[in-house]
Amino acid sequence: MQIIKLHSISKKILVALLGMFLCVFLLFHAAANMCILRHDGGAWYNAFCDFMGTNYLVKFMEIILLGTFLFHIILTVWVTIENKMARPQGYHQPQRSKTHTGSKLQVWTGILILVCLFCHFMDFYFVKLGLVDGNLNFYEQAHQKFQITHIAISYLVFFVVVWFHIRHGFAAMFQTLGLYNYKYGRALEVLGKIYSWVVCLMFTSVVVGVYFGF
Amino acid sequence: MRFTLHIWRQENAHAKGQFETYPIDNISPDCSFLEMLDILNESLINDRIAHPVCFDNDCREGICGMCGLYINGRPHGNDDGITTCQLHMRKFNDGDEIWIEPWRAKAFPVIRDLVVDRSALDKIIQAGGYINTTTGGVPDANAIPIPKHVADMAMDAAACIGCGACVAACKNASAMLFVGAKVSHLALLPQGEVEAMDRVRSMVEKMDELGFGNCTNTYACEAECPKLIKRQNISRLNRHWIGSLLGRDKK
Ligand code: HEM
Ligand code: SF4
Ligand code: FES
Repeated sequence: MQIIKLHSISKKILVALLGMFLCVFLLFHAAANMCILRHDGGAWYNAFCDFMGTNYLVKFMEIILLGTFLFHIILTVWVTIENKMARPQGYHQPQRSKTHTGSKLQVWTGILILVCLFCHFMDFYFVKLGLVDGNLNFYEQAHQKFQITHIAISYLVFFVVVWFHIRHGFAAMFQTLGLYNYKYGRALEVLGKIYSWVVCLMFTSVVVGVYFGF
Repeated sequence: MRFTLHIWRQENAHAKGQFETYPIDNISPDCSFLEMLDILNESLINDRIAHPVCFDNDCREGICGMCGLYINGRPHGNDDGITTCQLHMRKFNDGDEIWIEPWRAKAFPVIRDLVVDRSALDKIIQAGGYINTTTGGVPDANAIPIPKHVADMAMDAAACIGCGACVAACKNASAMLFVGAKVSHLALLPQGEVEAMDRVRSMVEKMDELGFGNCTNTYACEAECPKLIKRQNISRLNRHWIGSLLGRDKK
């Protein structure tokens, strides 16, 4: 039964567009976090957080972002269920074709991102909303959290998971949007590698930097 | 050479199948995989052991797309760019265990043993994989100029023999490589371009209706295609689909 009629490719195109928005957000988020590494007592970072907390356009974008996550997840889970149904009886032998492992992990890395994201929200976003107790000075909050070893390590795990997800997702996004061709295909793969490394290293540098007190 | 074959046996579409084990000996390394199955079937018949094992085949030279077995976890067996009929026993080691399964997909029901019904692919073609005009006589080669690289891309896509290995290999049982190839080889040439937007819509709609899965960019299809059809054809399919959503101007 189909409640909403969305063709296979249309679903994938929406997933890719939402994924693209998430990729843009991720780069922006990583860049802003670099301010935490400044030894300015949080002047820049808190000013930034203040702006993010009060500006109405940002508040609007926040809703868009949460909606993006939601739809990205709904669509991918939908696609995954349909794909399981497309092969009711599986093979006896394990698959030995040369494939992109990243794609097979995509659902699991996605779900892991969701779990990590919830923990991350407990540290910051829910504090802002007043749902959990914590330091509203996010510069200090980041310093307090990232200096605790197990929290720092779990953030690093989070970044590895994100790396896996966008390592495959980035080039896949262009393939889905019909932009992967003989001419630019290789370039897109390389760009995907660069993007996933740069973003994840930016996030990592903040956690590692704060942990070791650079 | 000696092998132990584990072959999927299933009486008919509704029966519950199971693997049967058949040892086989004295196989020449130059024997093709299907010839090896012929030898097995001869002995099954002569020794009245069981019904012969049913499997599809026709040309036995890699051009018709009829053969197709899932051998030790790979459609068309352990080699690249070949069909099952082009697989030879020298690709195996003496004493190997070989598991032979039919293509598995909701859209490809098993008819018997290793034979599956692949008419779903024909139905996709019937939905739009053609040109709606009588083309008449062959025009002069220089009457319709087509750049060489475009002709090459069209020719590469046209190499698809409709074997269904892409569906069999895909973890989602998606037919996107097949449809991508069929849409591309027509859309790339001037005669086919005219109807490209309508064609992509009807073929994709049919593909969805028949219960094939969604592409998640795993590219197992590309790795297993005997005709080396490239994933760029899937991207072109996506591109044309977007085009058909946005740019199909109709009164
Ligand atoms: C940091 C946030 C995220 C980013 C930047 C992101 C980005 C992407 C991108 C670019 C793709 C490729 C789209 C395509 O295949 O065309 C993708 C696919 C996917 N994402 Fe995410 N995503 C994020 C979070 C999530 C979450 C929280 C889930 C939770 C379930 C998820 C599940 C998936 C799945 C299952 C796919 C594969 C879909 C498919 O190939 O059909 N993602 N993602
Ligand atoms: S695209 Fe390749 S694997 Fe798929 S049906 Fe055509 S020839 Fe077979
Ligand atoms: S029998 Fe024709 S391609 Fe194998």
